[in-house]
Amino acid sequence: MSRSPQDTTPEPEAALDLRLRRRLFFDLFGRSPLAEERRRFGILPWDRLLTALIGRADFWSAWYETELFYFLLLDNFRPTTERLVTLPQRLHAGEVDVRHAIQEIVGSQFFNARNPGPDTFVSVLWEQLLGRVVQDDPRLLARGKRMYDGERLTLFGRAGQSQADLVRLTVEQPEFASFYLQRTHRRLAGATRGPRQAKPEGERFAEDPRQFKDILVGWLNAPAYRESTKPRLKTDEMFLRGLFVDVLGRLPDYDEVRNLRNAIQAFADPTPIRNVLTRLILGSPERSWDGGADAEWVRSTFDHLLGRSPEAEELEGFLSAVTQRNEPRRLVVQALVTSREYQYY
Amino acid sequence: MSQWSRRAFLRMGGLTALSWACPSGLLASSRYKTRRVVLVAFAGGVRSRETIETPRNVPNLMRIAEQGIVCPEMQAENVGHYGATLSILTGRTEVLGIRQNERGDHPTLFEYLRKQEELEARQVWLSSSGGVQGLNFAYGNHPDYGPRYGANLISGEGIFNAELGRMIERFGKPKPESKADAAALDQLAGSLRSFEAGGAVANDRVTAQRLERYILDELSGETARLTGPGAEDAKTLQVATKMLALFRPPVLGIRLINADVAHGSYNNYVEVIRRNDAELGKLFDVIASDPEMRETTTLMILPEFGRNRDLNQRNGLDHGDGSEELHRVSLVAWGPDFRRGATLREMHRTIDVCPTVCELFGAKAPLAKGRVMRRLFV
Repeated sequence: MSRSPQDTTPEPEAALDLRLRRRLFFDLFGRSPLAEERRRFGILPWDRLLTALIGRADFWSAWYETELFYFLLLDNFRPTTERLVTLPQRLHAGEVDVRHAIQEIVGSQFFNARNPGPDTFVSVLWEQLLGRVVQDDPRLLARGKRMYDGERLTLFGRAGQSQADLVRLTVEQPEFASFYLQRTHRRLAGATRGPRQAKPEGERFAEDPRQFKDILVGWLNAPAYRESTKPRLKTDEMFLRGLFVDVLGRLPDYDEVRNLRNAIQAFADPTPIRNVLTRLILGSPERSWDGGADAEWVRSTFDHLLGRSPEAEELEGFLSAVTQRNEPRRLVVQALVTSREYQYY
Repeated sequence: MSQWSRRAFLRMGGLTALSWACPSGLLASSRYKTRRVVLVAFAGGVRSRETIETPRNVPNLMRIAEQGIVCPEMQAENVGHYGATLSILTGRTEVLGIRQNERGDHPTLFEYLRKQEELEARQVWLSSSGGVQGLNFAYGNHPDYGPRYGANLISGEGIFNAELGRMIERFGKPKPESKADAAALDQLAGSLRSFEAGGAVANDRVTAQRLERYILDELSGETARLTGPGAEDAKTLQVATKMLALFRPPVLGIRLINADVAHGSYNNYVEVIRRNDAELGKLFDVIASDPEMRETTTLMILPEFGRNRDLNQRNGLDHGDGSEELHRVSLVAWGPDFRRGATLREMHRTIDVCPTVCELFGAKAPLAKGRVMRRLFV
């Protein structure tokens, strides 16, 4: 599927293979597509697919989880108030925009508890929202801490006198827009935007944060995204959510993600713990692995788990296992989901 | 030596572990006696006032100090936990956000040593508290180093906890692979096309299988049941002690963090220090009671920075007042190449630790800005 950068002819929709669509699901939802989604979205043209997926409510649920992870508002620091819990729905309904949503998250008691005291709060706020090295300007940091403590003063050329004002003034900085877009692009495409592209996008977003969805569609429509074939390592959450979808055919609930995520993030070499968790989930009574297997089952299992068809030697090896040696389906699935390739998308 | 560790060591195949521990590369011809370094970042922001200046809080640290050397004038520049701890490991002041969840740009001492000493992943370990951010200490983004030279990191709190226990109850504890299944899986895996993409620390197959067994054995073990203030650090130290028994690695890093409860409670902060000191004592006893380890192991212990001079409104201690108590910390160092029963009053920096550890292995830390602390040496 890789094309020459000089080739500007439209790519036939048929050539947009399963792997690209699968990758899109990982990037937008942090998981592989469910069987029903594969059927529904496998036939849509790319631009309509993007609009359809980004228009879904669960796009914002995934966005919310990504932001909570970025701010490390996990476990005991995870927001529990009605207002924050409903943030994805309010984003989907267009009641709030991305900038406002982030302002709500970092203005919450949970971000405050995660970053206690003026030193930590102001430092983290500016590091995570503006990408600033706070040590470079100790006088500004000192002023931020004084505003946090309730003193009325001017910051970034505007007046404020509370922790809430500090947060509002920070998200209204033009730096916020450009930094937010850069980190989002890096997460999706694995690289930062060049200044020529980033500047107008940042200005557009700063002027109207509701433009975020259009900017996002533009990135995902660009050849840099569509033509990239380099495998990317699944994050631990992607691996976990994908495993539930691929093996159990369902999304994990919050407790399952929370309880398994910390385990899976406990190793620099994720293979041993991923293998243990894979065996845990494969052994679940939720899913039966009864039934015979033939070439069609092996092919579809490769498609489903790796986003590609088996090569001739692979098909031969797996077929001989299931037809001649009667190895159970469970072992075939286990071999694929514990493979190195499955760790990538 | 504690009972569990001797038994565990034998159960886990002591001879194999010993053969794995054999040094390679420069280490084999190093002019120092050290063949193993255990570096403890006694971190979370810990002042000397509550440690070496109050010996009753840290009897074990004092016991180590009496047989080793103390440097009470270590300067820490960065006062964010993440950047400051990383500075110890890279040997240069790292300006990284407090909650930044990205790797640094410079190689860690783990990478220097793995690359120059030709050490396998199983020979370099880091046991870390601190959740997801802690994973970033294993290696940096420098193109000449990175994951292929990273440390094998394990976070005890992440793996041995009640939440995972509940998942095991829900799904059922995975059974060890039968021989027939293992052979079938090997055959199927062998049918797959090769796939090389890089991007993570990778153990050899035997090590990965030993780790899987260790995880399954320990899921319902003692470590998973630790609770209370400092429980995460206690798990980190216990896991480190087990990794020492299991792999006898030439390099073992330990990163603690729970002392940061000090923001909200001075009393809990002191309690964490005392609990960590007790676990540190157990680790030290394992080393000191093993003839080979006693003669060849170097232990270095220091926090990443201290804390403010005065209590905050919550009767806690923050870290940001720029005081000497915040920026000046103590290093305790013990080992066959260090002076004994001495105090080094000269000013050093926390970033001097990385090049000093490398020096003990006959290696260099070319991108570090710190200097080898030669006055520590005999």
